[in-house]
Amino acid sequence: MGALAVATGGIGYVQGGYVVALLTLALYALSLVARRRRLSRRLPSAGRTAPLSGPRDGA
Amino acid sequence: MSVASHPVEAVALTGRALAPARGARIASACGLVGLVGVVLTVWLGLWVTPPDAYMGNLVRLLYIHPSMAWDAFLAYGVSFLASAAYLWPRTRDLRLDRVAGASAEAGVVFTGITLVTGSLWGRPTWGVWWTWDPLLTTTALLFVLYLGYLALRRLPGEPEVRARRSAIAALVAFIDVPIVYFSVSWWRSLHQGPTIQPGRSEVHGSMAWTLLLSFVAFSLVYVWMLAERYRLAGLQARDEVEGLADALAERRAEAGMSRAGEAS
Repeated sequence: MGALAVATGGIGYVQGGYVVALLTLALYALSLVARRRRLSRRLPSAGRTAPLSGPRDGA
Repeated sequence: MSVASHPVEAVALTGRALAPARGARIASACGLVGLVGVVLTVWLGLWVTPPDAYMGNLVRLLYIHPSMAWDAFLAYGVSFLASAAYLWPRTRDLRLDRVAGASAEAGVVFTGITLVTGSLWGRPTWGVWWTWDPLLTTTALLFVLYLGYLALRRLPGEPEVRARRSAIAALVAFIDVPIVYFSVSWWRSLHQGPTIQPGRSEVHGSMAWTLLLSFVAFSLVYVWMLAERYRLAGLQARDEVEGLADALAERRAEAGMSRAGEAS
């Protein structure tokens, strides 16, 4: 494997490093967006302000 | 309870609802510019820049590996500052706790990538995937420390209690960050010392610009990740509160029904 790395100038390791880094960041980013969207859907007023129709408990 | 005492309504009354929307737009812009920067970094790093005289094509890994380490340090630094601010009585705010947690999580992602890309560089350069070199060892320790911090954040408890113990843990974990950075100077290390220092750089031409672009692009990606994770943490906190309120309401309803049954 070491000889192959020298012969190819280590390009396999380089490509592997880029794939690992970019794929990890992309998957993490996607998971953040998916989790936020799922919670936003579940919480009815998420992302919006409550209407100012009056005190909640009649105080 | 007055209108303003309810968190959501207080947001509407004070006009703070505008600030998160603006913050989200800025974060989205950072994410978009960061993404373009990352694409450019990959293009320059893999196709445009020349191979190094000594390292050959392996130098291309160094357009992403140091930026990942830098972003990890940046993330842990933000987590440290937010935690310190939370512990300071005058600035105590659960939003700071969320910033600390969000930033530390991003830091763990960047540290993990730093370790893997470093290992991929070390195998053809040093002949081993891993060695107990001071820099590598302290970086691995940093990764484990912040994994522990994230685990600690998930332990149940009152939000204030959780935030306080997490803030203390973040301050303790951060001690390792300067140790990682200075380990190459303090101890004999296989790892090279800093190539770029204030006012002095040993990197030239397109290689230097690609490295600089990489630092900026991944830092912008970090800002987007921090903002997105912070928003998610806010929603999770609300979900927790509403879930608890629902559970209490159900329990009260059950208790009311059983009392009514006994009376009849």
